[in-house]
Amino acid sequence: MKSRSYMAAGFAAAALALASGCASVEISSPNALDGVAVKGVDGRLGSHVVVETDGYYFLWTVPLVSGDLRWDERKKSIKGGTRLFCDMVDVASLQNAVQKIAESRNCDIADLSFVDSDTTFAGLSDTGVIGALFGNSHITASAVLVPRGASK
Amino acid sequence: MKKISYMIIALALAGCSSYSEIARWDSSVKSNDGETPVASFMTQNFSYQLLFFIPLCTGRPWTSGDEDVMDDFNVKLFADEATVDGNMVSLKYALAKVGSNRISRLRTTESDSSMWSFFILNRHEIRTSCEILKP
Repeated sequence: MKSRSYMAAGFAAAALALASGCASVEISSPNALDGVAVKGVDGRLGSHVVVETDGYYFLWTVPLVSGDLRWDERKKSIKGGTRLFCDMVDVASLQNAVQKIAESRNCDIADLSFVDSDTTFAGLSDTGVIGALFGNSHITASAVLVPRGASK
Repeated sequence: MKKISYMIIALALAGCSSYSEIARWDSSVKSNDGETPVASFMTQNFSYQLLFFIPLCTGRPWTSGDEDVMDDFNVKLFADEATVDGNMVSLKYALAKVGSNRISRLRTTESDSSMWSFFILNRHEIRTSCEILKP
């Protein structure tokens, strides 16, 4: 009985973690880069924006959970969410998210870059076989927002 | 409860330090921006969260010490300073150390790992790097 409770708590924790942790948008405060100049940018810098999304797969072909970057009309920004059984982990989604954030703040973009990584969970199971069936894909987009018309 | 407390303390001591490095560009070789940088900069910071929401411990931004002091075991409990803003604080400290405010190829990446604890604890990492150019 006790082990069932632990198992239920574990599944609840996993569901909560997956629901909250598959995609996120982090934007620095507007003055975090005050006094810093990026090469090729003529003007004051705005915020530094980082968008990331994760996807979990079975045998790399069956999507289980995916990050979902949605436009939040109330906050006028992108917010991270989660979708089941679909794959939205791609550069296009992140690029679109960065573009929308920049447009909503009347900014252009500098130093846009993407980093992606893939891992399996082979190390988690004794034989490595079960864990190797499940994979995780992760992409991060990073950029600097440059307010339009804010030349030196 | 005791076990959880010990685990938090162990995590705080073992894995929550931030790391920053200024690597002076000791050469006349140009980077692909066509300029010889003054230095390369990299900083990383870590935090642990319970169920992704409750901050347990965090490394802190780089705001003191010499250029060659790279590991900073300045840990804060029940807070999360492994953020973009935190890394911008470290970047500004590095720029002040180098004496320049011009940078190129600023990049920040974040990652989370929680499968090792079956999603109960999450280790959050944030890394920022750039080239520091002549003022």
